[in-house]
Amino acid sequence: MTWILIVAILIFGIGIYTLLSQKNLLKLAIALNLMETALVLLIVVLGYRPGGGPPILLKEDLGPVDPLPQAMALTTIVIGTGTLALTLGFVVKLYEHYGTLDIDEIRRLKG
Amino acid sequence: MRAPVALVIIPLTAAFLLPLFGRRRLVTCTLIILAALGQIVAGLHLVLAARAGPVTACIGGWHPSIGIALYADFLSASLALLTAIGMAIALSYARAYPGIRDERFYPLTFLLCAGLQGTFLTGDLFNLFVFTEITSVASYILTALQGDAKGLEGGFKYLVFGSVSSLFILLGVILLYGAGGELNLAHLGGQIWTFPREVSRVSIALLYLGYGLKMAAVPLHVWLPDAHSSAPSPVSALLSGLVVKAGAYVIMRLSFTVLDLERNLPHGLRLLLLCGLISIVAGHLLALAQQNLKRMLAYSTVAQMGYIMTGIGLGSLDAAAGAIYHIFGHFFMKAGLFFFAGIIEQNLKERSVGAIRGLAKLSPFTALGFSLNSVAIMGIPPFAGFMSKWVISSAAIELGFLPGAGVVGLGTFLSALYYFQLITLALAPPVTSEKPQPAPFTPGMELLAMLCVLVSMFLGLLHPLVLPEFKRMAQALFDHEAFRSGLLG
Repeated sequence: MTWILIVAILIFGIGIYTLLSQKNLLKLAIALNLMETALVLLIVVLGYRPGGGPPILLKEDLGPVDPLPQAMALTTIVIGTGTLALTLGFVVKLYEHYGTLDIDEIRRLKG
Repeated sequence: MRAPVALVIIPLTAAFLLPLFGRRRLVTCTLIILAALGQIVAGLHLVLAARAGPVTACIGGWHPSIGIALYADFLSASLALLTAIGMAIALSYARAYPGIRDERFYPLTFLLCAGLQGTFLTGDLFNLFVFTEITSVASYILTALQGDAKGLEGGFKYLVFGSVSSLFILLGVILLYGAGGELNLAHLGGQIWTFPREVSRVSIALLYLGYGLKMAAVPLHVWLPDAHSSAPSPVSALLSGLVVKAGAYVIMRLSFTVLDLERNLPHGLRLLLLCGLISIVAGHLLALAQQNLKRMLAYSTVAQMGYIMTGIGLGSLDAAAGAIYHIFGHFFMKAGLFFFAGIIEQNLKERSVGAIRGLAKLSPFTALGFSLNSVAIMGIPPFAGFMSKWVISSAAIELGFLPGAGVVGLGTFLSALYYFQLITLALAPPVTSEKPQPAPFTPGMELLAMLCVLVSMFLGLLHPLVLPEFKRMAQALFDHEAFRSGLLG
């Protein structure tokens, strides 16, 4: 359980690092998605109960895992996919306008 | 009680129905008008009901302590009504605005509105995140609606910053759920201080970081000037007038009703206060340096959000009432300014500050409205801008925090510097000696913008009437008992 937490934090950290260090729009999109994936992992881990069954009350052995985080994870995945699609749409449009994916060259708004 | 549900459902339904009818103007027009009016009616209904006592709507018949309830007290109901009215004004302005020929504007605005209403009315933490995300995604697209290079750049910047803030919020929500297994805000408020110290502090910090970014508190404001200045003017009015206020509302709700920071974590409030004061000074100073009219207005928004944060950070009921007063007043003032900026931009085809030189000759009505509006937002009586700042600074003096009142005064001085510069430019004679082309008069847009000025004037003039109402809204923030009984049944 703990090591999954560490993995989630690691993925989130990689996302933040990429976001701060990379100049390529596509890499920024990937970074945002990585961070979101780490959070989905975290949500699922939170609801996990060792040995627990699916949240369908059929047999009373160890009790089901917590079903609410699964719903939350699904919602987060849906939101994340929508945002990713939008981000990629922006990247395509920006490339059409500027002919580059480098954020340093797309910097026209100043002040 | 169905009004809270109606407030979320009406714009959401409109948002998804509108694209189905495509170019059938008659159908879409009717639908837009019906939805906007329906929202205002539901909002009025809810405000009247919530003034007497909080209204809880149990979704799907689930008891509020298990299900996801909508909760409306006087404050959230009034903000929902403000959103409904603000939406209607922005939609009518956009109808007349030649810069928006895109039919996608209407569904997206309704989507934005659904997100805002949900943010104001929800009583569940994860639901709050979802509605915040709906608001944000609609704002990103609206910013880039015109599809021009600047709009896309501003929108993309907004998207990256907004997504990171949303992820911080989500991480905070997950940590809180992991510690307590509860998402109901009232449950959480009771439990959170029994969690391990690190968990509660870290998750609160994450939530405040996220919503602080959404409300553009300095130093988290860097995305705002780009996004608000490159969006089409009706969108800028909505973004500056309502969307950043949603962040401020959430911070208010968390600080007072849910977490009761004054009692449990007073340092948190002091930090907010400091952030607010820095935002006022930094926002105004940065606005002074701007050459682009809408960019100047955007930085002014950063400063105005600083006043609201100061009101929250002071922590007293009067200061919170001042912050709420400012939320309402600032909507009308900034929407009016962006509306006039839109008219100027359309007429002069220029975005720079210098372009408004000689505006009084070209279109006297626009110049008059724009000047009145600038005077209003500077904080000169009798406009709402003066009254709300007055309430906030007198609350600061009452608490014995003189620097707070000093910074509010300094902010008024700084804003006077650049707004007076705009007014003198507008009244100055045109540079060129050739006969100026009188700008086409667009009555619809001008009148709507003027309406905003008038409302902000009445909000200020009628302060003996409206101030007790704002105090009542602030009282709703501090009424922990009603919040608990409303959300836990």
